[in-house]
Amino acid sequence: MTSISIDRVDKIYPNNFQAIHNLSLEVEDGEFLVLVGPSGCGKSTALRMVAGLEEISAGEMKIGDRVVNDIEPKNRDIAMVFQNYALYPHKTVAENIGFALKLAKVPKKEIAQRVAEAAQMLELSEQLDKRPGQLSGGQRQRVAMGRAIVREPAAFLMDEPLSNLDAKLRVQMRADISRLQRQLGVTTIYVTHDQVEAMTMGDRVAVLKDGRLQQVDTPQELYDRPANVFVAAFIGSPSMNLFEAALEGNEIRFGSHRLTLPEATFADRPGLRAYNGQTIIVGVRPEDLDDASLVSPLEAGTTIASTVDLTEALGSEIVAHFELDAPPADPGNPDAADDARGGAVARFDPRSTCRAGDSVEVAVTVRNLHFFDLGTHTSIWD
Amino acid sequence: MTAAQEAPVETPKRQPSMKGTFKRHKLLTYVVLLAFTVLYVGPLLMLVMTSFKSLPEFFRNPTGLPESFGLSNFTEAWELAKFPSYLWNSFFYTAVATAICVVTSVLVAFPIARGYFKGANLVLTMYIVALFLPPALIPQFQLILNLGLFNTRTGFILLFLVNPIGIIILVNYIKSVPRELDESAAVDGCGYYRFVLTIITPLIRPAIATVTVLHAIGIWNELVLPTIYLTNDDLYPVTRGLIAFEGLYGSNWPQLAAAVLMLMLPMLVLFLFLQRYIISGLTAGAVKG
Repeated sequence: MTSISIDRVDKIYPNNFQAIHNLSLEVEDGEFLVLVGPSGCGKSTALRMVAGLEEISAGEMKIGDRVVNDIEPKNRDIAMVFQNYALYPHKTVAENIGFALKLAKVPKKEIAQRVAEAAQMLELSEQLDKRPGQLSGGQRQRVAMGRAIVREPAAFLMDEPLSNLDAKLRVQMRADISRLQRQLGVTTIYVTHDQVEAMTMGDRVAVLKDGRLQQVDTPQELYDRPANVFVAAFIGSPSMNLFEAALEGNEIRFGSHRLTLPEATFADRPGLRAYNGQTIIVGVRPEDLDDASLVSPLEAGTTIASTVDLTEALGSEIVAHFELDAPPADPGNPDAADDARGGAVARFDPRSTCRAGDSVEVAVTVRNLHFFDLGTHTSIWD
Repeated sequence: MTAAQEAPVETPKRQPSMKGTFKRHKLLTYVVLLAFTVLYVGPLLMLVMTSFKSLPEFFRNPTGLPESFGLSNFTEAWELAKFPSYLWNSFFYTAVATAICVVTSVLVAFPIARGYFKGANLVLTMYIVALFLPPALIPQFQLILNLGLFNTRTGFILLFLVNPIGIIILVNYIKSVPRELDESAAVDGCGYYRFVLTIITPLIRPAIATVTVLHAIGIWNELVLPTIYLTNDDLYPVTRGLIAFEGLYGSNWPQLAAAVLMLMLPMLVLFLFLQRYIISGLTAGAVKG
């Protein structure tokens, strides 16, 4: 039974670059925690510090009850799965899976048995005598998993293990890894830059940016109650539309548009009243925007008039890009340079007939709007 | 429509000229290749021809075909150049020095390639600089003399233990091996030397084969150093035996040719045995990225 505790940990490289700032995280026993963030946010560094592959500059790292700051990777009782799998190309699948056990001087008979069990669990029994070069990407990924499983470690550490797979296989392996983790009940830290992976796999998700923890919570809470503009924009696809707006009584005004906020919004977010007369950042998720001609009943003050730039028909929905003459807010995601491009994205009902160039009335589910402080970018609640 | 109509008209016009240029290029390529083949194979063929001729026949007709293909030159050269005892010396020097050089080179190249110690790049630069330095014959000679290793097997082997080009080849090849393997092995509990010798070494076989062949051929064919450092007849390598064919008034060219052919045979076998690795070893940096 193992928990992982990261307590006020810093990582400063010799060139004085600080990759991790005061990171504190508790991973409970058997929990699947996902570290997510854009490239360069320090998520892999954090994971490698847990593994012992990077030294900790300050703070304390515990695996179980043991402080592991100065303990070698091999003595931390962890198993790691790498992005490129790190299989030994000259060894067979069986030798790859059993390598750690061989090093631990486990009797040959037991190695064979444990390798066979792991192979069966991962549907690799037929591949045991092959070399990694003869396997498909998905099979190699499973061998890497097998190598981790067979050791029966206290924790799994996975560094973007699905990044090298094609989209379809990734979806399948996502489910396989989740199932396996639940079946084995091993504490897992999983690093990814893909927010869909993070949302679908994690019991909890920790969002990092520039080496700082932004928020850690269940996927649904992250989605419904993002702590700041960055998390709001990072979680969800297409990402949340963010723009600057002025709060005037129970109305918000952005560009030439006005929306009326219901009383419930102010009841949920008592702190919002204090911003009356000020500029704030308003966020609206694409699924909270729809073609007004398909919405009934339509309440007053819940629509905005615009012109459609582009539509992408996906069958189950139409992703519509439309103009919005309000100043966009920059969520600060280095991976999405055009986040602050202006305009907005909506997920329309597939019955919508609007096409590029059409004038459209967009219905806004005002109850679901998000509000952030313009200066601090934090969510406005109390 | 216009574009579609124009296309078939243009294509036949352009094709003949393209084909013509291509043919001319090909012809030029063949001419250049042929010239180089003659340049390389010519002397080798002449060596083979010479090795079958008697001395008078060689002086009568140095470049033509031999009258008969007898092996007398080979058997006589075998005895005269003391092949049986010198061959063993050559094998010993080449095998021991190459083995030590390759093993130590791998152990040196790995931490340099990974930057696992401070100043790794500086050390590599020094190896590269060493490539351009002239051979330090006199200080080296003094060193061997002062160590009391002059005219000894150990002293002679000591001369061949470092090969800068070998280090550079190995460093570049090791760089193409993913670093995650090191980390994965560290997590698995694999020790440093075990990792280098059982994981890295099999993965860099092409580079090792290349360095082995380059180094072994260098030692095997060395004539100057054995002449300087060895004075005892029992210690001579086979190249030193070739001096037997140099007479006061002229050399016995056919016997020398036969001896040279016999001399190159072991290295040819080694090369043929390792050549499938060597090609990929030499081109590794270019294609592996």
